[in-house]
Amino acid sequence: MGGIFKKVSIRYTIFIYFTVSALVAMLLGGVALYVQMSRQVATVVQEESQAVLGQVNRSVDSYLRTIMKLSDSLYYGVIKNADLSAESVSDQIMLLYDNNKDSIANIALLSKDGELLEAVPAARLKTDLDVTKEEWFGNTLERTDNLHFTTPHVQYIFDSSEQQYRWVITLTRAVEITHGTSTEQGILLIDIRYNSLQQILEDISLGNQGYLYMISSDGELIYHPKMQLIETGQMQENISAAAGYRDGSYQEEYRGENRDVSVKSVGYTGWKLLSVTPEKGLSLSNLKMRLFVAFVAAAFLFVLVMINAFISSRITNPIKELEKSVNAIEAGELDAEVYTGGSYEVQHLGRSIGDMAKRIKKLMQDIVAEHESKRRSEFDTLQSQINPHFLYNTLDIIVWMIENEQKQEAVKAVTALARFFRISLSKGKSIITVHDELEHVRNYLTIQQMRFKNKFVYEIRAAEDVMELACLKLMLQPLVENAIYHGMEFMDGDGLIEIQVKKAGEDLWIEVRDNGLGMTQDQVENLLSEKPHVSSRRGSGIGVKNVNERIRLYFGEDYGLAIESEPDAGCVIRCHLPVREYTEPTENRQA
Amino acid sequence: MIGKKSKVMIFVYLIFLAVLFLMCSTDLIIREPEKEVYQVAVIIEDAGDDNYGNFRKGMDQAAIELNADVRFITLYEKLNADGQMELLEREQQDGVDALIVAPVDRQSVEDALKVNQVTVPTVILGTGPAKEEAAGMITIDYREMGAKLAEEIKKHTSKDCPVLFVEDSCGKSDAGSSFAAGAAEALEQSGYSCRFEEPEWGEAYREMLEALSGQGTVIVAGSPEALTETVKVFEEDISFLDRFAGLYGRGTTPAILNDLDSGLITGLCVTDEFSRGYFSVCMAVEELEKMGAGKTMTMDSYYIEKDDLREPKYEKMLFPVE
Repeated sequence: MGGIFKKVSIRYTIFIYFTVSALVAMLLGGVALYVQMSRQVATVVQEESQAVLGQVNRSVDSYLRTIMKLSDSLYYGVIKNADLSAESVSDQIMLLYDNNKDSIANIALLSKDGELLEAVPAARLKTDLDVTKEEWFGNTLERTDNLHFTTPHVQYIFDSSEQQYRWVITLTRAVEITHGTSTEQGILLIDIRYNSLQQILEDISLGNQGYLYMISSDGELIYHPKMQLIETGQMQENISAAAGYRDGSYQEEYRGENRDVSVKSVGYTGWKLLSVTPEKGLSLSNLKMRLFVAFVAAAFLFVLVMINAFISSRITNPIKELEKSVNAIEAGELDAEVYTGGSYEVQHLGRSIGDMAKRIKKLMQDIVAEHESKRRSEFDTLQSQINPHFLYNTLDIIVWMIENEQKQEAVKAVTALARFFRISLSKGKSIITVHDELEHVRNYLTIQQMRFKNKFVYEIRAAEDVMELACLKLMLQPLVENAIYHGMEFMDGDGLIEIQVKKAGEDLWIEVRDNGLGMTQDQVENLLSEKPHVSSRRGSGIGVKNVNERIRLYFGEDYGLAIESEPDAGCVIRCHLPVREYTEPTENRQA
Repeated sequence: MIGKKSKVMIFVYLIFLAVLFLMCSTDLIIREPEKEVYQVAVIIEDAGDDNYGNFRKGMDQAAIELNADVRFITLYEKLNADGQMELLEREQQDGVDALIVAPVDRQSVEDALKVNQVTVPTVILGTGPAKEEAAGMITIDYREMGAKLAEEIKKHTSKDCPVLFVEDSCGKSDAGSSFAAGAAEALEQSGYSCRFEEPEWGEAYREMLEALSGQGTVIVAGSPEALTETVKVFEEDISFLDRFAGLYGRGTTPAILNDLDSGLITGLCVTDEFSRGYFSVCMAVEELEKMGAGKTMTMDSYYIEKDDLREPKYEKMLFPVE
C-alpha cells in the first residue's frame, strides 16, 4: 500500500480513498437498493397479480354462481314441482335457456337410465350412445348432493345436424323427477358455452409477458391463452406443479425461466386460477432501462468525483502551499514567507515552520558570528605572537653589533625592532594603512638584511594614493619571510625582494616578488595548503596560508593570494585586496 | 486548479453522459422497436377453405399473438397452378410482407422464388424438404401417412380384399398422390391388389361402387373431397356400409369427423392442422424479423378411428378451441 502511494500526491491519495470509499458505499447502497427495489417491484407485481387474480376469480365465481342459480331455478322452480308424466316443462326450460343462451349451449334432463326427457334447444341423443357410461353421469349419481363441473370438452352426446362442434363445460346435478305419484332420480345437464367463460379470462393483462390460466383440481387445463398448442404438445406449461399449489404466491423455475406464480381457488368448483409473471418480463430488463441505470450510475460517479476533487483540493491546497514554503526554506531562503492559511492544523504547522526558520536563521547567524569570532581570535593570537626565535636572533645580532662597536648598526637594528613591534601591536587593530604595513615589512626586512649580512636587497614601491588605503596587518611579513627563507637564504648576495603596491580600479594589488630559487608547482600548492611550510622556529609563525585565509575572512571569497613561481625563476606572490579607505576602527572586534 | 488534461477529461465525460442520456431517455439514438403489423397472405391450392378450418384457427391465433394481418386466399379454380402463380404475383404487388403457399405445382413456386419472380419471404406448405429459396417449409409426409393407413388396413382386412383408391376427378394434388402411393406400395408389398379410380362424382360414382359392392372391397379416399363424396353415397344407401370392408381416407373437416363418429368412415389419417397454421404464420413472421435461414418443420400424422375421437389428445387436436 505504501509502495503504491509512495509517489502519489496527498491530494490524489485523498481523492482515491474518498472515491473508492464512496464507490464501495455507492455499490453496496446500489445493490441493497436494487435488491430492495426488486423485492418491492416483485411484491407490487405479486400484489397486482393477486388483485387481478382476485378480480378475475370473482368474475369467474360470479359467472359460475349465475349458472348454479340457473341450475337451482331449473330444479327447484321447474323440475321438482312438475309431474313429467302429465306435463312438459320444455317451455319453462326454454324460457330460462333464452334468458341465458349467451352462456348456455344445452339444457337437458336425463333419467337415471340415460333417457333424454327434456332437451333445449330441441335435440336428441346420438342413437348409438349410452350416456350412462359417461364419467359425469356416474359421478352425478354417486354424489347426488353436489354440482358437478366437467373440464372443457366437445359436446358430442347430442345428435346435431350442424357441421360444427361446440366446446362446453358440462354442469350436472342429480334431481328428483316426478312421474305421477312416484319420483325417481334423474340428471339435470347444463352445457356452459366454453367461449363465454373464455371471454372472462382472455385479454387479462399481467405486465409485459404475464398471463393467466386455469386448471381443474385434478390438474386438467381449463383455460390457457395457448391452450390449443399445449394440448397438442407444441408448447408446455407447468401444470403438474400448479396442481400441487395452494392459494398464495410462489416462485418457480420452469424450462430455465424464473417466474412468479399466484394461485387462487375458484369457489365451489375447486378450480385454480393462476397468474404467471416471468421475471424477465419486468420492465427493468429492457435495454433503455439498463442504459438509464448506467446513466444514473455514471452521473452519480461524475458528481462524486467532482465533490471528491473539490474536497481533496480544499484539504490539500494549504498543504501544497505550505510545502512550497518549506521547499523555499529547504533551498536556503530562510526569510521566505511561510504560508499560514487553511485549516487550524495547517495554520499551526505553518506558524511553527516559520518560527523554526527564524530560529534556524538566528542560530546560523550565531554560528557564523561565533566561527568568525573564533577565527579572528585565532589570527589575532597568531599575529600577536612573534616567533621567539626571531626575537632571540635579532637581539643576538644587536648584542653582536654592540660588542663589535657597531653602534650605528645596533641603533638601526634596535630602532627597526622597536618600530616592528610597535606596528605589530597597533593597539590590537587588525586593519592598518598600507603605509603602516609597508613600514612594518620594511623594518622586518631591515632586521633580516642585517641578520643575513646583506645577502639580498629589497625595494618597496608604492604610489602615494594607496598609502592610506586599508590593509590587513602583518599581511606582507609572512610573504617576505617566505621569500627570504625559500628564495634568499642560499644566494650569494645578489638577491632582490621587490614589494610593489598598485591600485587598479576597485582592486588593490600588493605584489611581493623575489629572484630566488623559485618553487615547483607542488611547493606552491603546499604553500597554500594545510601543511606548515615555514619552520615556526625560524619564521614569524604566520604562514602564507594563514595570510590567504585572513584576507578572505576579512574581505570575502573574491580576494586572497595568488602565487606564480617556477624553479630558478623566482617567485611572485600577489595579494588581491579591495580598495577601501582606512578608517579608525569603531566596531567592537569581539562582536 | 483544474489542469487542461482534467478539463478535457471532464468535457469528454460530460459528452458521454449526454449521449447516455439521449440513448436512455429519447428515441434519437435508440429507437424503441415499433411493433410492425406484417401483411401475410396465405394462398392455398383449393377453391374452398373447407379443409382449412383448423388451419385457419391456428393461423388466426398466431396472427393475434404476432400482430400480423393474415389474408386467406383461395383459388378461383381448384388446383389451378397458373391461377395460383397469378395470385402470388398479385399479392406481392399489393405489398404483402410474406407469403404462405400450399402450392398446386411446387416446382413452379420454387422456380418463381429462384428467379426472384417472388421476392417476399415465402413459407411453403407441402411435402419433402425445403429448398433454400423458401423462407421455410411446413411439411407433411403424406407417403408415410399412406403407409400408416396401409398398416391399419392390413390389421382389419385380409389380403383377399381388393383396395380401391378413389381420387378426385378434378385432378390429383401432390398430397393425394403421395398418400395413395404410400398406401398402395405398402399394401401391394403385402399382397393386396390395388385399383385406382378417378370417377365422376354423383350417379356414376354410385354405380361404380354398386358394381364393386359385395366383394369385400376396401375404399381408400385419396383426398377429403373423395372421402366426402364416398360418404354421400353411403349416406344415401346405408347398405353400402355392409357391402364394403371399410372406408378410409384423410381429412379433418368437422363433416368428415362427424362421419367418422357416426361410423360411416372406418378410419382416418389426420394431422394437427391448427399447429400447422399457427407455425406457418410464426415461420413467416420470424423470417421477416430475423431474415434467418429457411427451416423445415415436419408435422406428425395420426391414424384414428371412432373411439379415438374422445381421446383428449385427438379431441383437442381435431376440434380446436375457438
